[in-house]
Amino acid sequence: MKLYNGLIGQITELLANREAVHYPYTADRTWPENDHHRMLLQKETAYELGAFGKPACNITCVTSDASFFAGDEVVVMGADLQELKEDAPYARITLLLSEDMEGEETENVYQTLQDMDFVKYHVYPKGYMIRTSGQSGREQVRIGKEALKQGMTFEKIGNTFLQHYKAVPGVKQARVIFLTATDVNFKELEKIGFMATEIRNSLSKLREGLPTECSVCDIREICNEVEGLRELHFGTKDRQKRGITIS
Amino acid sequence: MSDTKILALVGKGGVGKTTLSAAFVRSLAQMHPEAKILAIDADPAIGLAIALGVEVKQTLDDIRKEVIEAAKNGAGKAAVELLGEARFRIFDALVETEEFSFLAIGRPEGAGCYCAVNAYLKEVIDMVSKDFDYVVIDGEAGIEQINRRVMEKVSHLFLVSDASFKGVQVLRSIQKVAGELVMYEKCGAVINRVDNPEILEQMSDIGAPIVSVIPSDGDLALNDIKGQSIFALKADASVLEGAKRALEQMGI
Repeated sequence: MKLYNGLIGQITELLANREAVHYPYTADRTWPENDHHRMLLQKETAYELGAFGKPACNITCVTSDASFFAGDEVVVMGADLQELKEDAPYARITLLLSEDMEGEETENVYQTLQDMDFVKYHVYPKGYMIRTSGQSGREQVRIGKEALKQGMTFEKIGNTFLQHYKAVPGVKQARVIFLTATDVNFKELEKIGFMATEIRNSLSKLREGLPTECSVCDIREICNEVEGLRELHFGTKDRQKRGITIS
Repeated sequence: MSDTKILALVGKGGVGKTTLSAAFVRSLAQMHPEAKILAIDADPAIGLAIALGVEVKQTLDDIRKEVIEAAKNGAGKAAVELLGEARFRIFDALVETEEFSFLAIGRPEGAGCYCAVNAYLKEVIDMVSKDFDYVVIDGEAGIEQINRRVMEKVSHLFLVSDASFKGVQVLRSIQKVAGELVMYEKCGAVINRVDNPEILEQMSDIGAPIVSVIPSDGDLALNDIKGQSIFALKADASVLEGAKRALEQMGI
């Protein structure tokens, strides 16, 4: 799986030399969760991460290249939840180390990536209300006054996310990065987030069938930029020629 | 059903449902200052917004259209993504004040079957309602929303009528349909603008106990013509007294 390697490289470069606090994954330092999405009203909210008018970004990248990882960890760049006093810019970047999916059917690759990405819809930490839009790539979080009093931190929220990611079949390691620093190039991050979404959308289109003539193909631009997408496409076609059908 | 108390007001157009809904919201906010209260304006005319003094920028139906558009443009969006999108955008339609939150349904447009729209409305109302202690739904005039099962799960159904023959007639038919299609725990009638108590003698067979009788109120009419919200009314206004009585009688 090298579809996202280019994007992971860009993220690494963008965040290089930035002050960061690293927390190795600790299973018993998670934050309690609700059993379903709970709404936090403004009157219960201390502040909002990525509030309207501020950058708010969510990126999930998957790779089988272990050199990007040094164990499961939470990384915080910028002020932590207890330090923030008002609305702040926000990004959550998740990097996942997966099994090598070389030779896998497009359908399987797509499903695996979707399962990993959809974790964001199923994490409901108490007093940490996540609103995430696949359409715009935005992720905004309302931080509850009560949860802050009880000691909520990014480390605990990150460990909760890691717990969910590690439960997805195929995930070998995970890193969740929380960004609240104001001097980050969020525009660039938003572009990376957009590309990450486009990769998954392209896989969805590949499942539906695309022409083998690149000049007339809808996703040729993204294929030109993302290493591995074209191989996946033609690898699939080759298998089809060999009589292996894809549902 | 969760612990949320869902109060729905139904009746003929012009009988005072919207004012009474606003009065319920104000009374509940005063009786339970810590409670989370949601007012839903299910009438396309969005009169409840004016009665509560809030400004509507987007309706649930605007969001529905955006989500459908996003689904059309997206490649094979999964249901969880669409629900996530609706959950993200619902805050664009939710007006939040210290006392209550407000959501307008809007006007579902398009000819033919409304099944998808109704399913969406029900889904969103269910999704949002769970997070509130009290939900007050100002229904559109008549029995359409009951027929379309938008108000399938309410805990307290209020049948509202004025002291008119037509109002009571509509109320009887609503009660009949609601009895078959709505799962409610309690049902009561509120009779509005009653200046002669003898009128009540003509209302013995409406199918639900009368839980409050509210006389006409000149101050309310003045408040209304000035375009002022229910919060501008004096605490002893007859509609507020009547609303409190109705809530108490229904065990709320």
